[in-house]
Amino acid sequence: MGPDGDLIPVHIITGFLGSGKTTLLRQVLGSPAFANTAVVVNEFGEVALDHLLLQRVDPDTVVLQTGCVCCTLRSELGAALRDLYDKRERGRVPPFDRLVIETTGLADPAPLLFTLMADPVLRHHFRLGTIVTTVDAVNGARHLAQHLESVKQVAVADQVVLTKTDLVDWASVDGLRAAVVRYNPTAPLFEVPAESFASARLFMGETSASRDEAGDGPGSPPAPARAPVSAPDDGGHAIDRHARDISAVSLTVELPLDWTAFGVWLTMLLHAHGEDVLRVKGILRVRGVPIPVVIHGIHHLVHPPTFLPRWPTDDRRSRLVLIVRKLSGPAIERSLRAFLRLAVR
Amino acid sequence: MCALCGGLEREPHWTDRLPRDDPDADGAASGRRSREAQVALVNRILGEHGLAVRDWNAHVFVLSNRTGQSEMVPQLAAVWSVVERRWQCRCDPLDPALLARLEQEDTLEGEPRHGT
Repeated sequence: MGPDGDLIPVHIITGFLGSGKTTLLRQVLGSPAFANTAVVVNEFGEVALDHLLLQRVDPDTVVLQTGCVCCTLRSELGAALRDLYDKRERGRVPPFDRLVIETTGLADPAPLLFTLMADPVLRHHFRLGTIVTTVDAVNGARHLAQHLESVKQVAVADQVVLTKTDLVDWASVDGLRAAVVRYNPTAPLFEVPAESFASARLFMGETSASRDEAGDGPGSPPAPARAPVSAPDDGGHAIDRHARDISAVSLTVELPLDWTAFGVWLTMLLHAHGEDVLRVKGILRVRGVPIPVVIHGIHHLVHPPTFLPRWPTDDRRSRLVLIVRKLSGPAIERSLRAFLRLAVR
Repeated sequence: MCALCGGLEREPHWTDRLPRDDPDADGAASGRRSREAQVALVNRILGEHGLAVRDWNAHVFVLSNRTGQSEMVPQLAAVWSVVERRWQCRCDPLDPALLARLEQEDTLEGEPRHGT
């Protein structure tokens, strides 16, 4: 297998029903930079995409015997991607440079990501790119409050696009921004249509699982550490029940950490609580490694670690963000500390 | 496939030695040291259950109990599920009893803390 650069990036656009995924996708694909893009959709949208490579995938999940509910394989998706790659290699379709998958509005993106990462064939030809989640400014707050799928879609995002912001007042947009940040404090937020440049920046640069030269893209380090995020009891959304369960836990480690101890800890944590770990994202200062190590995980899945060429700021502490459900931030902190201590005994 | 033991090539795992870790070192030797370190740490955790893991030829881990019952495990992340399935031992790093034991044994390495 070649380096990451030889693999075809698979970008994912997800978001709740009616949140503007297809509209955004059409906008992005209108850019010359996305000329050689294959598109895979769960269901045909209303937008004509005739000029694009298009493949339809029916949702069909297979629960692995050893897996949990969150670790399912999308068998049809795997077959579709293998078929698409085969056609590309045989010259039966143009040699696309990237792939964009548009999920259904009700999809939990985790099985899709698991398919990409766990399929022994796919992972030698494709790599996970950027995960973009659309959140509708009109209905997004209600979706987040009422539908766990919507929360998961935001939690796994590398970039979040607030759509239809021209249809609501600024206060509503600000409230939605706060709700999104609550579930994903690390993902850059864009607004459509207020930020017309957003589409040019989406999916561009490096990826969720790869090195990021620019330093402000999806592979960039988590936002500065902050206190665990939790919803106020009288939060802005009256029925924000998910907010009571889901929190973002940010940890910093002052000294270089031991990779072995970190691996033992995280594998054990994801074994025991992977269903409740929606996202892991970190930039780590690892003992013996002169450059930052970037780590991403979703539920039980952890990407192969990647490297940044340099530290993006003078702050060289390890920073780790976990978006968790019904897990105690202080308990996670205590656990990480105890496991890191193991390495120096 | 290994011509001597017939073992299939092991799939890389994210917990493996980092490729940028000590690039001047001999890769095989460094990989063995990394596996040895993993084994040592895991055994610190499994010891209270009467279980132990050992590395077999830098290829798989072999998990055993005190009566010699063994099971091969392909990579580190699978150790915990095998322990729970076969020996019904809960592997939870948030278990207060486990943490209390580890905290008694060790000295400080890093200082993770919540930011402000």
